[in-house]
Amino acid sequence: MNRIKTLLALTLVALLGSGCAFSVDRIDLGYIPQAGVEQVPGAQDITVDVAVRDVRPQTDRVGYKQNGYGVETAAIVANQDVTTFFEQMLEAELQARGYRIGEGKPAISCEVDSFQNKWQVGMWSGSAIANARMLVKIKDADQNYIYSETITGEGIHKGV
Amino acid sequence: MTSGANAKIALDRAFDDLMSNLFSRPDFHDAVGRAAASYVSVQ
Repeated sequence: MNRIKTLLALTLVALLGSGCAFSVDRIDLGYIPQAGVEQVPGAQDITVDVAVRDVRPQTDRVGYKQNGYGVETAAIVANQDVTTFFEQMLEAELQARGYRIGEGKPAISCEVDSFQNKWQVGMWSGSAIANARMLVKIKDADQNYIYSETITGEGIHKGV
Repeated sequence: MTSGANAKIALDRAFDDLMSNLFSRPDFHDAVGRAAASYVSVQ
């Protein structure tokens, strides 16, 4: 009898899991431009060209689901193209500061090398920890890099 | 633990940090200005 109960319990867990933890989930990426930003003096005379490259090791997902043992079970995929999404974010912030966007100089290049969510499992609940990193470069007319910085951001959502 | 919605919230916060980090840097805007000026002087 105990064996039957155990088998039933295991089957239930497997069925529940297959309906959720093992199916690919999709999320909408969203970004609300920063409010109350100040215009950069002289920006209205500068037309910048923003180019983004997605150089993440895994470009087909922005996260994954995992079971109680920490084993990855299914991907979490973005509905939007990550490259386009970053381009739109950067352009929106630049425009808000007075820059014009178009085929101009200088070209601002941005390589996105990390953009994903990971789970941290706790005793009673977990946290969703997102990490985003991009390498931003600017060249002058002589093709020298005059700006090259790695910019990172982290978002944590606790009590998952 | 398996919710994509929580991943979205966390990613949203990462974007906010990312963008405020980049655009609050005066050296970034200074570089854009200097690069733009260098192209003007070449033409």
